Amino acid sequence: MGSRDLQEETDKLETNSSNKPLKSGNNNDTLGPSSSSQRITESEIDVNDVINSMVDIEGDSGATVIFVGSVRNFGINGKVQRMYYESYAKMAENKIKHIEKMAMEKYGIKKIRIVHRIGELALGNNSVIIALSTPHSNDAFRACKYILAKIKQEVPIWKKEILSKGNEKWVDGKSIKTN
Amino acid sequence: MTSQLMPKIRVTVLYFAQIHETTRKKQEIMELSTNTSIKDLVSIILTRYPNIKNIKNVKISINYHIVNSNSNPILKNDDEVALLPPISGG
Repeated sequence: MGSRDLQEETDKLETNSSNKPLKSGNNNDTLGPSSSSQRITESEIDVNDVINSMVDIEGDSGATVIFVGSVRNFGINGKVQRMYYESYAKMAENKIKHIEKMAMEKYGIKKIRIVHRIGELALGNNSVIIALSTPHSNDAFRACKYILAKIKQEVPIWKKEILSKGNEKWVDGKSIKTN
Repeated sequence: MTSQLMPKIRVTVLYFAQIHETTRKKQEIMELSTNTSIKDLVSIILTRYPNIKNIKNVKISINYHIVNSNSNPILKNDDEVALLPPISGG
């Protein structure tokens, strides 16, 4: 798909005063037992806490997969010194909740935690964690890749590379996907 | 009816990433006539901040839902509209 500016994007719209009502405020999806925690945070991600939350004393899960994304010292704009993350927090929380719900149904996930950090992060700081457990390992690996791809496509988060040369550049991302 | 007597609605508009660097603000409240559509609002925003046109593939949300390209909803009082440039999380 080619690039379009905002004028072109809205030129396609047709007035529709009887459009289906838009939800306002909270979008409280009903989710599984580990859905209550914060998904967007300015605080350091507590990796051990997330791992411990995967412990399943009932024994329903035989596999736990954890993905941790961190700030790399090189990016598309050159050598990176720090990374700044911004989000539309309320919408991002809703989108991540929705992704969790979809993934739980699709892969039979028993436990799941997703946390994305925002604000200014140093090299090596953890920016995102995805942890999940399933009965079988194949589903756990596949679910983790699915969730990461969904986050990149659907969650309103932006990152800006603060480069060694002193300049700053927003990372060219993907147009947010409508589902 | 004079414009002073025309009913008005108030809508919050949010700007993110490259867009708020163009507008030099992260949000503002706009007072609009009733029956203003999202397309009307975008025209107002682009007149006020023409450099937003340089940012490609911007999506619009109303109350956390992306506006579908086949619809042009009429805005309501207290709606929250966001201009979302291409995302890069994860």
